[in-house]
Amino acid sequence: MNEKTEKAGPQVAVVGVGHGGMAAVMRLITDWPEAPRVFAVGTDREMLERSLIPPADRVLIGEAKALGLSTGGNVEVGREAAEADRDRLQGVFAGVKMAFLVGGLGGGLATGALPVLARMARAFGVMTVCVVTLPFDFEGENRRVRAEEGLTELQEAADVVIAVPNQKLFAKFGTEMRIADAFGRADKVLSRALYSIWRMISRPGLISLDYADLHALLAGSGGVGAFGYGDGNGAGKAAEAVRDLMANPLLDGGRVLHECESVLVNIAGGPDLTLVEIETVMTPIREALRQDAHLAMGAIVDEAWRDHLTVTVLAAETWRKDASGQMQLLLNARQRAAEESETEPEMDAVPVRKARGGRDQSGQGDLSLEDGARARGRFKDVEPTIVDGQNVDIPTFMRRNMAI
Amino acid sequence: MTIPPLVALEIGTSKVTAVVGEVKPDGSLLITGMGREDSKGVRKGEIVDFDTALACVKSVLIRAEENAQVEIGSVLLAVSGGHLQSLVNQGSKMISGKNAEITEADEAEVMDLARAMNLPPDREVIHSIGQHFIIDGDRIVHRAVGMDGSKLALDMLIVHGARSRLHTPVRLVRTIPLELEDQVFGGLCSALAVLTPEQKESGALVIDLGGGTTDYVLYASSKIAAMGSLAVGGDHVTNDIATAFNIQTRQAERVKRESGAAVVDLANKMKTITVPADMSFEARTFTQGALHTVVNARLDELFQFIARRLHGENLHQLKAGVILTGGGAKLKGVKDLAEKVFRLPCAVGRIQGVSGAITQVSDPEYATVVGLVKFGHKMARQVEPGALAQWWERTVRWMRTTRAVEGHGDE
Repeated sequence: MNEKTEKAGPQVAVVGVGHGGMAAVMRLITDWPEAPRVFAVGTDREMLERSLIPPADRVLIGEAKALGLSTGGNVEVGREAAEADRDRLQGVFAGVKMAFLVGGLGGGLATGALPVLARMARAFGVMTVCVVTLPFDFEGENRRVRAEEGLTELQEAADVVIAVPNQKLFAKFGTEMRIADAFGRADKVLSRALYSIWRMISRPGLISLDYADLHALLAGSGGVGAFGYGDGNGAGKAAEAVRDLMANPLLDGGRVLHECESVLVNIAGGPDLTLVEIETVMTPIREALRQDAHLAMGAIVDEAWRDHLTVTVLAAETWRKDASGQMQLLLNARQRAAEESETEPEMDAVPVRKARGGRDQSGQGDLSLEDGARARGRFKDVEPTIVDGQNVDIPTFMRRNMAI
Repeated sequence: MTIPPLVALEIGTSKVTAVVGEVKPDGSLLITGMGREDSKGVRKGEIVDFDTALACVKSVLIRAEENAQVEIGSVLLAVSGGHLQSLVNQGSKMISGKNAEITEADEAEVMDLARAMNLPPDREVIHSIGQHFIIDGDRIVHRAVGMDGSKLALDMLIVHGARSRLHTPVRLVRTIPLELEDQVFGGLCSALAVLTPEQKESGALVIDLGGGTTDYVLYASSKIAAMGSLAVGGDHVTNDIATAFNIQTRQAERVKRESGAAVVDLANKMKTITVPADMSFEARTFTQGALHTVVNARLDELFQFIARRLHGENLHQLKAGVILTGGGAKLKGVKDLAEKVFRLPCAVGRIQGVSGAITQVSDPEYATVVGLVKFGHKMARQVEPGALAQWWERTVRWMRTTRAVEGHGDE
């Protein structure tokens, strides 16, 4: 993969799956004009038609079941849609050596269809890198559980999975952000992750990295990696970029670097990039890493980065369930008891049992996860209602500290 | 000529309701039948279990068919949910020539501009309702054609929601399979059901207290000034009671209906309520005062959220005050609480302008679904025959929607 991929030829394909995936690839083509060929896969006809993706590169699937509409968060509809339209999807992988599959895990289509697509791609001998987001906390328990299950399945199906937990972006962007903006920013980060990984391995640089490096890095990690970045401008750009990187919540304030077993660092700079700057970036990273950690480094020079420096880091880290949701802090024993009572007499009701079944599986041996679900009482299956920053599913009298 | 019946469907959090309406020869609306069942698979106005909800909707529609003695082929659908939001978008254009006369085409172009919104790709517009035209930045008029001006602007109220949430009920209706005529915001339906043209003119805030969501619609000078939805409803009240007194949800629901009140009944504060032992739960006794305090905290907060969202809308100028609908409107004291929070007169809504043998339709719980039949009726009456260009059709549809929700016109 040298000259051809550099020109973003047909050897690399980026496939946005579902609403989140499509939003990210649209962002990719708007922000990065030299990005590789982009496809959009969806069940929502209108959404595909409204996208900026050329009509020939749009793949509508699952018409029989989804009726040209969104899957409405139903993973089975997503999975069946991809299975039913394998023929149409094959076209995406024709003549492709490497595919990036992009989507927001937790949604119906991405969670259901991404593993199907990844298995297809591998069957065609296409190397697959999945870049996925994990839902924000405010998107609710159900979505999070679906995302976890989807990630497990995807790890087995794809060569490499890079997961970007959206919730961690909040820490970087601040909690005052409006929800619509939060999703927009998440798309931007996802498109940025995609572009930098693609560029890292597809464009020869000063110090080259390739897919083999990427694969060697992530192979031993269960195929899941973390992603982080930092930016700097002007005279002190290297020091600024590495500070920004270390503060990036996607790397948990450097914790990810302390704990990971191997890491891949890419530095992008303009023709003015100096060796001293590379050293300025690498020294703190090296210091943050464990002694036995494996480190691979690459650097590229691009006119677009003149007076600007970007550090991109991929770290091999097994994704852990983030069980530190704030809901649990507000958990009250009385509420838990009330909730238990609700589900028991209703055991015959289909919705309750289904939901419980799904959660029990993923929550095995993880009591705190189960408790977190109960804290929202009967609202555990849906997004929490957040008004003015507080979870109003929790009884008002408790939040107002009233004695009853 | 047989006019097909109008069928309104609401897949609510606590109940699924279908109402069949027919247009009488004099043009008025007659409710001829309905079906209703307790809802399953719906939380906070959103379908969480597709197959269960589907079975429930099918069964309700069969009941409605039997009850009204009709065959249902298409439905109007009410939607609600915390994901629905509204905003005002302005479109404007310069009128060619100095002080030229404003034409139909100018109006139509400004409508298109005001409707063209850059929303994130996962959002979908469900209503765009014109508020008023503004000529040269200061003259506010309902129709601008024939007037002189150099700049024409239009304020458009746009209601939008999450595509995936809006599509789930649509998919459900099409799976049955049925035709879907329109998807209408439930709060808007409730307002249409209970408000008189006079109330719309003098200004009113309609709050629909549902099981999973609370919708609100604000009318001022016969126009809708704002609307929205909060994913907080009667289920929250029930859940709060269950948590406070450590009782089962169904017991809490019963206590709420039998003894609940939104303001503390001082005369009977110390009166006790006893919930018998059930399953693994011990018997509980608590005072009515404690129960009312829990309910009051929740609803007081809910009304305050709405008041805060409508901050800047000159609520004190609403001469027709606050009108409550939905199942929650039947709770004791809720009217008094709303009066206190909004500092406005408050009443429980009475369904206007429909007749029928079915007495239930006058219950505020059915305001949404009856209002939806009214909406379909008003839209249908305005259909003009003949093929229209697509652009023109959108404009006509927009005007119909706007007129259907406005105060003027015959009731």
